[in-house]
Amino acid sequence: MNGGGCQVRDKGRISGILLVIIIAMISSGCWDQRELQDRNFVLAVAIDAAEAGEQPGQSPAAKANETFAQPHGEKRYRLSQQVLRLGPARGGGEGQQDSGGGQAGGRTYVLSNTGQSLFEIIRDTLGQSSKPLYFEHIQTIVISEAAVQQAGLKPIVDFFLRDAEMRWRIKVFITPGEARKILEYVPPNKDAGGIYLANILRNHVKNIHVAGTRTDLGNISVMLGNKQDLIIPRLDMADNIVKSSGVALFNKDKFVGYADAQAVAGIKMIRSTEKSAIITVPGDKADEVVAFELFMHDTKLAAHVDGDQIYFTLDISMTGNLGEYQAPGQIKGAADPDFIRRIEVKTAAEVKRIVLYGKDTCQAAGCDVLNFSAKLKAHHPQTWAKVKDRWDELFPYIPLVVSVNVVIAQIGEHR
Amino acid sequence: MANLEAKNKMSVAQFGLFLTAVMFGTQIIGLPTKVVPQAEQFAWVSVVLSGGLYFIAVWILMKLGEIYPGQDYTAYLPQLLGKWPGLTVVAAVLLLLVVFVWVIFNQFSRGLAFFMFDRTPYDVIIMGMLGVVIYCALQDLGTIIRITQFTFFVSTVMMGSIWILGLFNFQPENLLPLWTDKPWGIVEATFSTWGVYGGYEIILLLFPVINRTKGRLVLALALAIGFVMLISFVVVIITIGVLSVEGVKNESYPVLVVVRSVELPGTFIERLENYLLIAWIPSVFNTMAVLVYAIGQTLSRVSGFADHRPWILAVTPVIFLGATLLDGMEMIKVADKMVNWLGAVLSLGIMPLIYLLARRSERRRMSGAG
Repeated sequence: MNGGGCQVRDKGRISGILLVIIIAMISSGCWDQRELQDRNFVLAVAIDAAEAGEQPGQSPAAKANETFAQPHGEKRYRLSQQVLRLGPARGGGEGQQDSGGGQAGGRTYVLSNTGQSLFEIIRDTLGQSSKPLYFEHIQTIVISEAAVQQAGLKPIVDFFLRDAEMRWRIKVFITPGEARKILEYVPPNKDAGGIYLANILRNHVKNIHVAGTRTDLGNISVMLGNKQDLIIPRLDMADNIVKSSGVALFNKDKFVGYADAQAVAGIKMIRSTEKSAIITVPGDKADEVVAFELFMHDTKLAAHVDGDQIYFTLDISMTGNLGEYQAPGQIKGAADPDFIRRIEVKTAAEVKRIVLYGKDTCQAAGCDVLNFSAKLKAHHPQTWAKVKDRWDELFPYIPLVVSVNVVIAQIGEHR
Repeated sequence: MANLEAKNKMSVAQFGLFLTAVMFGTQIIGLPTKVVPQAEQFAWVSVVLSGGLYFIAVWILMKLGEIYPGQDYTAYLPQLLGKWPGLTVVAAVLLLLVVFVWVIFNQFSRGLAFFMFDRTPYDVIIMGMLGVVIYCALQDLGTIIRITQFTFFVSTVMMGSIWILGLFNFQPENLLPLWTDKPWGIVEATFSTWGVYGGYEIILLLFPVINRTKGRLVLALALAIGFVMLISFVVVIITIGVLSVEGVKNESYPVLVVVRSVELPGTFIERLENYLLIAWIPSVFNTMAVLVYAIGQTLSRVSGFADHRPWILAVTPVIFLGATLLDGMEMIKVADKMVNWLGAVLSLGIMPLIYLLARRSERRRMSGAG
């Protein structure tokens, strides 16, 4: 009897072990798994107009290879993809083209193709790639001014907003030149270009000239959805130097021009998106320079309606430190309270000037990226209902009353 | 040693938790898409109003149960309304539950396929989930209660922790203005939220097994509805605050986009929406397991079977076919609308009328007995 019981228990155990093995075999891993090295990671995308030009020395046959037979429509865009080269970065050679279209020494290479549908272009580019192109890690989209002027911004970003592989926080740039060239840029630290470019925008917290708040792909989507005007950071490249400074201004999805770095500072101050800033003013003498470093601010933009008159007020209260004091030819301290007071007043006046410059730039371009319409709609909905159809006409003439208070809390370690 | 699986009674507190687990989760992902286009920045008002409305609905179902203690709806409805009208109402509830399960399965498979398994056919996802749901529904009520209690806590804590990160991108001004020229939209949205609370109908079936000697059932119901309402309220507020009204209108899965918009600096944790989806799976599982159990129990009682399990197995192909045949966006929209209106009409129209009838007949019985 006991022996029979043991046999039954053993059978039960064996069945249990077999069941566990079978479950482990069928449930481990994904059925459609693809290893890391079997993917081509796209880190950045550049969109140019289709006729942006051949690469230097490119033969007609090579140009023909960077396109495909399109059943209908015209060739509208050239889409270039910056692909991560898995493995160690190559050393040496500046400016040398490697076989993949990128510059030797970089961790990436670039594939280009032309067509109309961006999705179709990407899929056709697989004809140039040994592995599937994978967009889960895309960081940056660079769009050329020429491309965006063709049909507006919305048709270009649509694919990136629709596809589940894309990220909501992709950094977007507009460049006045050729976008593909920027993808070929090899950063000095040999980082992958797409990541390097995206990280430039992340520096917006320290650099008031860089517009990086609410300019990501997702923010662009929300603004386009709200039929709001928007800004996209500008990116320039010359002689292997890339720099983001200034912004491209969009009226809804139509490109209307650029605003310079000073205007960006003003726009950020009005929108209260600046985290830090260096504001320079003259000292007591004309050749003296004092730099104020902004640490904290309390900014309030308010809409007011007085009869038919709409105007805005901007109250800014800034606190920061005196970060630098250049006084040539004399050894003079900065700890004098009267001097500090004078600098506070000058800094406040400079902030006011920057704000009004930003406001005037936007009004001259007819581009309401100052949150005026959003504020009016939120706080005076009935007035907004009356003026919303004429807002584009009214916006350039809306007054802004600015009041700035600056407090210098510290003068630094050196008095 | 006590048999923990054999359990035919549950306490008031257990029922409250059970009900919360059944209602919570499945529709949270799609809630803003349903209410924001109609009620715009006042969608939160619709959510609060619907909470009150469906509390009244579940309170009526509780009062109905009190008139017939010890009986579930499959027993007292034919008594009260006559055999065929009673069975028709039972069939309507059954239809509601079945179509609701179809819709949930379908939406679940689509969401999961879109964000996580883009090449996996919807049928395969439905099949996998259906397998575990059916396995759970085949168990004894005690086991199901324990499973839902566990998964509810795990799922809710995980979803809440991920979801709250959306506050990083919250802009209060997106909730303004506090003024609307479309008040009717708020009312319309209120009536389109049945799915958020859907599942409370299980009280019709489980009322007799609630041990009411300890705790107040009405308080448990209020807390269950209140919890779902509070979470829905927070979800709607944060979604509008992050995406704005127009932004929500433009997104297919705005709740996931809110999480997607979070960028955690310096971490290797990316694609938070996938974590939210993973946390969502147990929540969907809870709802579906209990709804399928309720379908099986209802059928077994109507047909006079002692065991609900054969009926669970019998409805499995119906559930699978229904969920997979809801193909194309238009059909899903129609099924979703149908289930919403059927749920609202049953809860806010037919059941209150039945309750009035039951009270009248009870009064007559009492006066006859007196």
